Amino acid sequence: MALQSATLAESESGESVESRNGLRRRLLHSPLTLTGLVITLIFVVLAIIGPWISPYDPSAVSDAALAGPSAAHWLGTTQNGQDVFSQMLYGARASMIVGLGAAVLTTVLSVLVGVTAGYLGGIGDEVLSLLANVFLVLPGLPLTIILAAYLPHTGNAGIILVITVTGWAWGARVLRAQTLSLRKRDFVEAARATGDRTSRIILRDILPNQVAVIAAAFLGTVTGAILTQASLAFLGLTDVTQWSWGTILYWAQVSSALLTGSWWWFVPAGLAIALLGTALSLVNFGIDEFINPRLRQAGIGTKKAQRAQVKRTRRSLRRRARRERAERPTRAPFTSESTDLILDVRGLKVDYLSGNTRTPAVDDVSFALRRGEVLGIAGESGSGKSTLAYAIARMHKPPAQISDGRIIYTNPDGSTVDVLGMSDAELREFRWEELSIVLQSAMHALNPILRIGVQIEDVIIAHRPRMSSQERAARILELLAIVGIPADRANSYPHELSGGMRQRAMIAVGLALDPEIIVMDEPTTALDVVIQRQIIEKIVELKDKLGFSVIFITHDLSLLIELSDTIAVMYGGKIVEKAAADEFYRNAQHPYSRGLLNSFPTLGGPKRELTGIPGSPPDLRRLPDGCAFQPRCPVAVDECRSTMPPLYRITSSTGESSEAACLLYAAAQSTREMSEDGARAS
Amino acid sequence: MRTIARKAGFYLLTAWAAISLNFLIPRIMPGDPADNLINEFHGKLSPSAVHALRVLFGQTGQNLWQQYLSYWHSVFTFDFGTSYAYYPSSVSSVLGQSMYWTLILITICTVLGFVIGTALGVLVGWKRGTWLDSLIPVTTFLSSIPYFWFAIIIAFVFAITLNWFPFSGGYAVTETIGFNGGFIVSAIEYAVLPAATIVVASLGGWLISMRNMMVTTLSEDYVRLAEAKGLPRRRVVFTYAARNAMLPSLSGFAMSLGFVVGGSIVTEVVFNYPGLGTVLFKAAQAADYPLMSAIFLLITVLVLIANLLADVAYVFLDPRTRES
Amino acid sequence: MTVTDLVDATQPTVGDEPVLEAVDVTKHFTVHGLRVGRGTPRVVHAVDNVSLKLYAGRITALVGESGSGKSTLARLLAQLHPLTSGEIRLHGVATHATHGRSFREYARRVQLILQDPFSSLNPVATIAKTLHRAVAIHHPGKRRAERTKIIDDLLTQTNLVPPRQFTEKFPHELSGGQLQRISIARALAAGPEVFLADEPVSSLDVSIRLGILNLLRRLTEERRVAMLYVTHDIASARYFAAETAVMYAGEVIESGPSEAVTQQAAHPYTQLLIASAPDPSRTGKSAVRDIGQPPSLIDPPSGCRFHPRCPYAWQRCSTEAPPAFPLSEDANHTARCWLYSDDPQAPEKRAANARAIRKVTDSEGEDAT
Repeated sequence: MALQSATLAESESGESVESRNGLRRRLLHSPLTLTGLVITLIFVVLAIIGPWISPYDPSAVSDAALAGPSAAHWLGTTQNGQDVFSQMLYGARASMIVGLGAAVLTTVLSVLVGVTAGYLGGIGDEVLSLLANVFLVLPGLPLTIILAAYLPHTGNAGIILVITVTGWAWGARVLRAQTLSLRKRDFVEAARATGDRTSRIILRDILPNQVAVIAAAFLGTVTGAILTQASLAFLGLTDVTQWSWGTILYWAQVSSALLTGSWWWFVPAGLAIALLGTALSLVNFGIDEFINPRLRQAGIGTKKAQRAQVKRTRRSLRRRARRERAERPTRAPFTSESTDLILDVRGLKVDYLSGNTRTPAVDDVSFALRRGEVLGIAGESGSGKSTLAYAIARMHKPPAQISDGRIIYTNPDGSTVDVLGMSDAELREFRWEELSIVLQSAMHALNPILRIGVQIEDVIIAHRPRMSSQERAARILELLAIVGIPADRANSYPHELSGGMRQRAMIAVGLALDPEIIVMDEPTTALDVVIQRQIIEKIVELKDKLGFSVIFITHDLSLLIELSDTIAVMYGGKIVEKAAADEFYRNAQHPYSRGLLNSFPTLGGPKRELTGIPGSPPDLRRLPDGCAFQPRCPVAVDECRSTMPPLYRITSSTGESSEAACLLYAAAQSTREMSEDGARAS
Repeated sequence: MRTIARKAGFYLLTAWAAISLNFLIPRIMPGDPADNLINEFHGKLSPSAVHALRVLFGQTGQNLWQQYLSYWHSVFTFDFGTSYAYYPSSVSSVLGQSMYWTLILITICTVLGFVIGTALGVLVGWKRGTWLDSLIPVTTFLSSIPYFWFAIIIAFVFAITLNWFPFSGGYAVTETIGFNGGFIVSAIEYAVLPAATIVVASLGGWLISMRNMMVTTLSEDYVRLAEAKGLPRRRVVFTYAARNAMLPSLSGFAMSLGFVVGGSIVTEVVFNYPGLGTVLFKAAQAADYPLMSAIFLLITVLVLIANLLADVAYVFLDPRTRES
Repeated sequence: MTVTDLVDATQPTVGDEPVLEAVDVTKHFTVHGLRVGRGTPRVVHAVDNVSLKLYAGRITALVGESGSGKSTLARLLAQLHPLTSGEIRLHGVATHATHGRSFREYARRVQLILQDPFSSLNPVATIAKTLHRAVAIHHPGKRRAERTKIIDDLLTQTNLVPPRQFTEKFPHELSGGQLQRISIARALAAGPEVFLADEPVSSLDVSIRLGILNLLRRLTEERRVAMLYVTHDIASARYFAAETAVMYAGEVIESGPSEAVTQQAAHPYTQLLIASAPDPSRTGKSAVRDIGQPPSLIDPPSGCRFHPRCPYAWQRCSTEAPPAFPLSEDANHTARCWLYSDDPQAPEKRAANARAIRKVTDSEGEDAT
């Protein structure tokens, strides 16, 4: 499972939360974050030991007024001949005390308010979050100035207090939102159902999962507090006789250091603030990337990596005339004897690259799709089925890489082309014109801020630039009608539609250009059975009417058997069995297929014996030796642990043929006996 | 529309809270600043200024409720008493003169900073993984710099050393304020450095948050699907990715705006720009409480209005907030 | 790993008292948000007047689509939300325990198992930590070593052997099936009398579902626990539950012995659900002609909540909510549908329904071996 979230992010929207050890490791591995940590540490050390190593008393007046940097005065002197370097060292402590003090106080207040409001909910939450929102929009600095002005010449404690009062709201709001979402998470509900105390749930379940956010809020406040303190000091609203980076700048300003050109006086203090702020922000980015895993992958999406996605030489492609809609000849319905190939996938291999390791998610997969056929690809989590779907459409993103294989598409005129050899322009024309894809979650696959009609129109505009807007409007209505969406819904936004309607809209987008092939990746998994049935029937009806071919990918084998002409079962990145759907249902050959078929309960007919499969699907990064299924296989023999079986062709007693990757069928002549052995053993 | 009405209601509530807070602060602060001040000035204050101080600190013998009512009366009549930092001008006339400088400068700079920063963020996010990513530490540094210090450096380089632009003030003293060419040219000339400070210092923050949101949004299914659908790159970048990515930036506008406004105020001080910031600085120096609290109110109200505008833009961009 | 016919072995015996019982339970959630004006606050009718009995050593399935109220009912039975009206009886005694000591005592006896094992365990705590907590709550005063022994025992019972291979791991290091077993072990820690399993296998891979269901079934039988099996998969209810109740839009619309409910479904909604479920043994086209969807629970339809989608509905269905009618075949089998009343319109509609059902079963059957 960890693999799925870490490298197979392709198909998974949910990310698994990592342990705090993961956070620590990640923070130390990014060079930027490490730089930030080191700089921060240096400042902290200086703040602690500064006054002891300071060469002069920062307030001591000397004759060397406005002297530039020298061996005696590293950072020069002020108008009164005070040593700027000593002032900087003393100032570091004051700035750090205010920064840390305010951050501690603010964070404690934020956590208290945020977690209380988020966990308890109700009226208390409404009042607290209203209060936080009010404080959030009140401009902080003017308020701080007012407060500080009423507390003239206050020391650090007053400043800390003022910053806390004006700064707690942001953290409180973020933590409240976090708590609210955590509270709805199952593990909190489970802890409640176990009978745990609220206080313990907050301490054990809520807070530990917010460490990253709290740390981010804390570091942000340190930066903010140091800046605010400097601003206040610069405006003369703090005790200006107490050395801080801000008071150095205050004295520089009131003594017109600018006009005298004594840059050494005002440059170091600002630089120190900016440097510390940058360092803390860099650490925060590290935390950010940890919280938001998508940012982590940002580095992988480089142009170079994208270009390297398909590692093969480009082959010339005959230019095809733009096919206009409705040009497709009407064809006879698909039969199992058809040999009219439309897509021929040969030896396709997709790897996930991470560091120097390659994890094959799709390994040497070959299959043929015939015109009008519904090819069902079945597989469990980590079988590589979604990666395969993306790879066929070349929609895979780094770290996924197609490292071998060919995807031969047969044009309507009979010429063939390798999809993997297409240039960007050719690919753009191929996709949606010839092949479109319907994704699992319509909620995520539709742009939330565009109307459904516009999202369909976008495709038409991109591919049929000469179509008039009236024609486009007519086409949109036609498409909505054929997928069964009321015409007035063209102006709806995705969130205004039900789950079933959204999935229909996705199918309408997929059909917009009347493609030859539609790849459907779990299009009904998120739907309820009744809605699923409506969608499936619609797909079958449209396929019969429009004659496209379908690659339908799902984990739901019973649905697939009903729907498909041909079934391919994937396990551990490979196709382990391929057969006509009827033949597969009646006479599955691979022990895994049999196990799957014996795993789901049936509604019709007498109850049958369910056997299931022991163990769990394998982790693609740690596939077992030999046959990937062998550790779970009831009929495995020693040879299975060393030999990776290829697909063997099997002809059943009824004359139907299928293919299975199992050593049971290695010796062609003994096929029947072994198959029956296998059936008995399971 | 309901959403906007609700937001407007919230800002009204916030304005009420801010105005009441402004009423309360002087009354709950420890010590007796009013007497201290009056003694400090021993007799140099006019009776009206003393009265203004007494009113501010609630020492008029009225009960709290009456004080609160008369306070509201003064808010609505813009009667905040006499300023003694700018004695004998009234607070409202001081604000009336300085407000426009700040309003124009900050409005233009905030919008410029947001637009440039966001646009750069879209670019850097879209081109993630290229050399543009190395801009991130640079912009982080820029956004960590205190505005006023950046102002000092800019002034030092471009006004003092290179002498390209004037250093101090809002316009050349030889010009008369009004709608005439000479004044406008001069005002623009004087505004260049403060404006540059605010724009450069604020765009880093927008850039980084926009870049991160872009990266997040680009991995959304709908963006990948838009690319697969063969849409023109511009359509994918702007309508599918950037418009969605901008939404959190806009909703975080409130907090950032407060930050930018705060920074701009201090920037004005460095350039001695004749806006609210410089006035606030002088008021703070002179402990001119009536002027300070009036400035606080004014800025708060302006920030709230800006927030409301941002919310309107949000509703315009995100149909999910529009209720049918 | 074999399922024999479990239903026969666990037929209710006469005079059996339910362990946990929901009596006319209703739950309305108020829609939150600062809404100015608009009169009364809006209410979601999540569960309306539902009665359900759970018996020791027996699995009762609660079947429905998302939003039907089945998960809410499970949480109400776990006392995680207060009821709007109705009663929850534990061993015949009305119990109200939403917090504090009484809730802990209740939780000890009634345990909830959630759907998604990946999110139902704290991601930053080791398995040992999570289990120690559960054990500590229900076995206060035990030493750590004793608790560890209990944990080892629990993990062994849920087939996680050797236990030490699992205890020091974090949830993300384990597979879905293993995590769900740990969730079950956590629920077992209390030594409960009732298990409320909310879609315990829906988010697991097909090949490992059976193992989890078998484990739950074994625990039910060995420990004489009463089990509520909440699911959207009516076929699994047929195999794993002695009795099945079907929910639609917050109401139980049909209930009875699982075999009767799935093989002689009486309510048109149950029939729709069964016809919609994927089933390879069915050949030919199914007769589903339904384009509707579940109603809004904020403003549910009057009368029978299914009437807007029902092909057999007549006037009465849209005005009067039907009570539960016993069906002639089996006294335990009831359906809330006017088709089974003595309404003058009912016989004709019933005949139409029977014709439609026969058409579907005719096209099935030939392949059902």
